[in-house]
Amino acid sequence: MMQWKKTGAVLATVIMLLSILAACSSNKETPKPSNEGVKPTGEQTDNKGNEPNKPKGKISISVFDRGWVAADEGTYESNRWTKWINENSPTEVEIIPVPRNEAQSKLNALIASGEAPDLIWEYDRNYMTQLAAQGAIQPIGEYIEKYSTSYKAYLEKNADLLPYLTVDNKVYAIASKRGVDAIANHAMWVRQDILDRLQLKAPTTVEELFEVARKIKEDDPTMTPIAFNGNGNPIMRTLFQAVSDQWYLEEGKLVNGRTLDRHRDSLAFQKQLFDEGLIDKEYITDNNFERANQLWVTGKAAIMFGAWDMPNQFRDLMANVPDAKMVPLEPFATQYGKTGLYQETPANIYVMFNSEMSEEKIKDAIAYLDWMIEDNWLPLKKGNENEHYKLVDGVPQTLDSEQFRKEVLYAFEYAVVHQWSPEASWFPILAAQDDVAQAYAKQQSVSIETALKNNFRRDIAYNPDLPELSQLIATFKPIAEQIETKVVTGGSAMTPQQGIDEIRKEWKRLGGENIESMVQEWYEANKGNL
Amino acid sequence: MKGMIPVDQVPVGTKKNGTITKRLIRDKYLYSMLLPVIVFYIVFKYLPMGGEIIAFKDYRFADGLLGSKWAGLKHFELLFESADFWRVLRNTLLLNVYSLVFGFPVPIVLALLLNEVRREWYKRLVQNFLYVPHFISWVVLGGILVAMLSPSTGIVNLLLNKVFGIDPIYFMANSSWWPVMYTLSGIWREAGWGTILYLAAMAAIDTQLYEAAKIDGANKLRQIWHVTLPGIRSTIAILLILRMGSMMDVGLEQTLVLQNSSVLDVADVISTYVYRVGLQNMNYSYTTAIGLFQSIVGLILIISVNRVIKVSGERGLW
Repeated sequence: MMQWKKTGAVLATVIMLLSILAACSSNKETPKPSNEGVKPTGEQTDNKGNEPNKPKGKISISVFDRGWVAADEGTYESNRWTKWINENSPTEVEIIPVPRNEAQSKLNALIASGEAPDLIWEYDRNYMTQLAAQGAIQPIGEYIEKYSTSYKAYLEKNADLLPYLTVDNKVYAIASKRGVDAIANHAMWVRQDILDRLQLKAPTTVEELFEVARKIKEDDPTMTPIAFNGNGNPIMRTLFQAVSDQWYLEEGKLVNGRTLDRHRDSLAFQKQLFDEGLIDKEYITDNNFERANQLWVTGKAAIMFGAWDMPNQFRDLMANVPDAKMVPLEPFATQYGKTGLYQETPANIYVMFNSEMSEEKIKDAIAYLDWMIEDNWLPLKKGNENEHYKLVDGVPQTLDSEQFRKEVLYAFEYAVVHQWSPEASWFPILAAQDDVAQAYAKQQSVSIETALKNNFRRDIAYNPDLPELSQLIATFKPIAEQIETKVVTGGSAMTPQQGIDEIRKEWKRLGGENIESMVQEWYEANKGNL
Repeated sequence: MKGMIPVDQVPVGTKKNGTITKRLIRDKYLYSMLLPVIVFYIVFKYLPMGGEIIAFKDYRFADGLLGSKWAGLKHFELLFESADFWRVLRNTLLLNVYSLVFGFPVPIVLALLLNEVRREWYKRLVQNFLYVPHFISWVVLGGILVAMLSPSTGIVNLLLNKVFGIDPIYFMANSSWWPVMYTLSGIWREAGWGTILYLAAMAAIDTQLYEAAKIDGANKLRQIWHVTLPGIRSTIAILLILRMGSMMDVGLEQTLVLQNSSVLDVADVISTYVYRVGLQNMNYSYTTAIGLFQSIVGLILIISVNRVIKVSGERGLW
C-alpha cells in the first residue's frame, strides 16, 4: 500500500541522498561490469552507416517489467534480445526496467532523483503532457528534422500521428502507429445459437435489443441476457455518444460528455435494462467482473459488452457449452444513430527524450529509433525466421507457441517503434492449429472488421490537458458516478432527468463553467492541431 | 564488562555521575550499538521531513526540490477552500471512529477469552484461525466478503431470509450498511493479530496475584476484572495512543477493494482522494500539503491523548 505523504518523504530522501552522492562522485559514466551483454559490442566493428573506428554512442531506455522473462533467458536488462540489439543496432543501448503496475510512479521517482533513462516511454499520452509540464522531457521536433532518416520518412507518410506527439505546438515524442489489432478495443458479442433457437435476429436498434433481451429472459428466467465487463459502462455511454470523460464539440463549443442530454438518455437506457433485470442486478459490486465472466462462460448470458479479442471467454464457453456459437455483434443504433465503439488513438508507444540529454545523445537515440523502425522490430515481435516462425503466405506463423512464449514474447516492448499491423485474414494463420483456436481465429477476423467498421466518435484528437480540469475531474468523478448509479439502480428514487440535473448542478458547483471557458480557450488555441 | 550494568541500577541524574560526556565515555560500547539505529532514523525518518517544504512550493521535476518556486500557503488554501476535502475528511474520521470504538476493544476481549482457555492445543488452534485473515490480502478478503454478502447468492442473506424472513439486503451497495461492513471486515482481518501484544502482557502478570485473588474468594470474572485488566492497562494505554496517531489514515487498499460507485458518499476517503489527485495529476505539492495536514492532526491527537492518559495515572508514551 502506498501513501502519498510517504512517497513524498521517500522522494525527498532519494533526492537528498543523491545530491550528496553526486557531490562525492563527479564521474558521470560509471561502467557497469555486471551487464555482460551490453559491454563487449561497444568497440567492435561498426556496421551500417556508422563511420569506422568511431565508437558507438550509448543511450539508456526504459522498459516495462512484466515479469515475463524466464530465469534461464536472463533478465530484462540482459537476454538474447538485448544482446541482439546491441550487436546490430548503431547505438549501444542499456535497458532500465520499471515494474509495469507502478511504472509511472517508478519513472517519476527516477526522474526526480536524476536517475531516469535517456528515453522514457509510456502508452499514456497524458503522462507525456504531464512530463512536458514538469520540464522533465524536451521537445525534439528539430532534431528529428536534422538527424532522422527512416522515422522522418515514416512520420511524413503518417502525418496523422503528429497531433498526438505535440504539446503546445512542440513535438515531444516519437511514436509509431498501432496495428489495427491494437486500434480496435471495445466490442460486443452475441450467442448466435440462442438467437437461432428463439428465431431472433441480431439487434440493430435499441428497441430490437430490448426485444431480444426480453425474449431471452422469458425463455429462461435464470438467464441474465446481457453481461458486461469493465468496458460495459463506457460502451453504454458510447452508443449514445456521451462518453464520460470525453469532450464533444457541440455547435462549435466543447462540452463534457457527462453534462450532455445524450448522457441522460444513456442512463435511461441502462436503467431500463436494470429495472427489467436484463443486466446483472449486482453489477455495482462486481469490481473485478468475475460474476459477469462467470455468467458468460457458463452460458447464462447471451450478449456480452466487452472487447473485440476475448480468447479466454471463447475457450471457456466452448468447454462448458460445446454447442455455443459466440459471434461478434455490431453496435446497434440509438435515437442518435449508429456509432462505433471505443477505438484507440493511432499513436502506440510515446518515446520521450529526457531533458538532460545532450544533442549528441539525442542523435544516437534517433539513430537507434531509425534503425528500429526499418524492419528490426520484426524479430523482437515474432522471433527469428525458421527458429520461431515460418512465413505462410507472407504471414509469420509461430512454430511452437510454448517456445515462443518463453523465448520471444517478453521482447515485444523493446520494439518501441514498429510497423506491425495484421490483416483480418491473417488470424487463422497466426493462431494455433487446434480446432478451438481455429474456430476462434475465424471469429477474430470477423470481430476486428466489425470493431473497425464504424468510426468511434472523437471530436477532438485528445482531451484538454489543463491541471485545473484534472483537479475538477478528480472531485467531480466520484460524485457523478454515485448519481449515475443512483439513477440506474435506485428504482424510482431518481429519474434520469433528475439525475442529469443533479450532475449539472454539481458540475456548476465545482466550477465547471469556469473550466468550460478555459477548455474553450484551449480549444481555440490548439484547434489547428486537433 | 563495565557497560553492562542493568538499567535500573544506573543512578539517574547527572549530579552524582558527572556530565553527559562522562557517561558517554563510560558506556561507549552501549552507545555505539545505538548508533546504527540513530543513523537509520536520521536518514530515513528525519531527513525526508526536509522534503515537506514542497508543500509550500510549486514543485516541478525540472526545477528540483530547492529550485521550485515558493507558493506560500497556496496549496493549503486550496485544500481548505475545497468543499469536497471536508467531505473526504469527514468520511475518513467517521470510518476511523467506527474502527476505534468497535474495533479497538475486540482484541482485548479476544485476548481475555484466549487467556482463560486451559487446553493448550485448543488455544493454539483458535489463535491460528484468528491470525490467518491477517496474512490474506485485501483483494482476496474483499472478494470473499462481496460474495458472502451478495443479495442473490450470499450466505448471509440466505440465513437472514431463512431464519428471520428478512428480504435480501444489498449490504455493500447501501450507504448506511457499507461503513458497518467496512468496520467489521477490518476487525475480521486484524483483531486476531492484535491479540498478540495483549497476550504477551498477560503472560507477564504475576501468578501470585491470581492466587491471592482466589484466596480472597474472587471468581473468574472478578479475577479478570481485578487482576488481568489492570495488568494490561498500560499496554492498552500505549496502543490507544498509537492508534490515535493514525486517525487521519484509512487503508487505501481496503477502501479501494471494498468501495463501489453507489457508496462513494461515505467511502471516499483521504487516501483515495490523494491517490486520484496525486497519481493522475502529478500534484506533488498539493498531496504533500494534505500529507502534512494529516501528520499534524495526527501529532496533535497523539499529544493530547498522551496527556489525558498521563493525567489519569498511566505512564503514556513519554
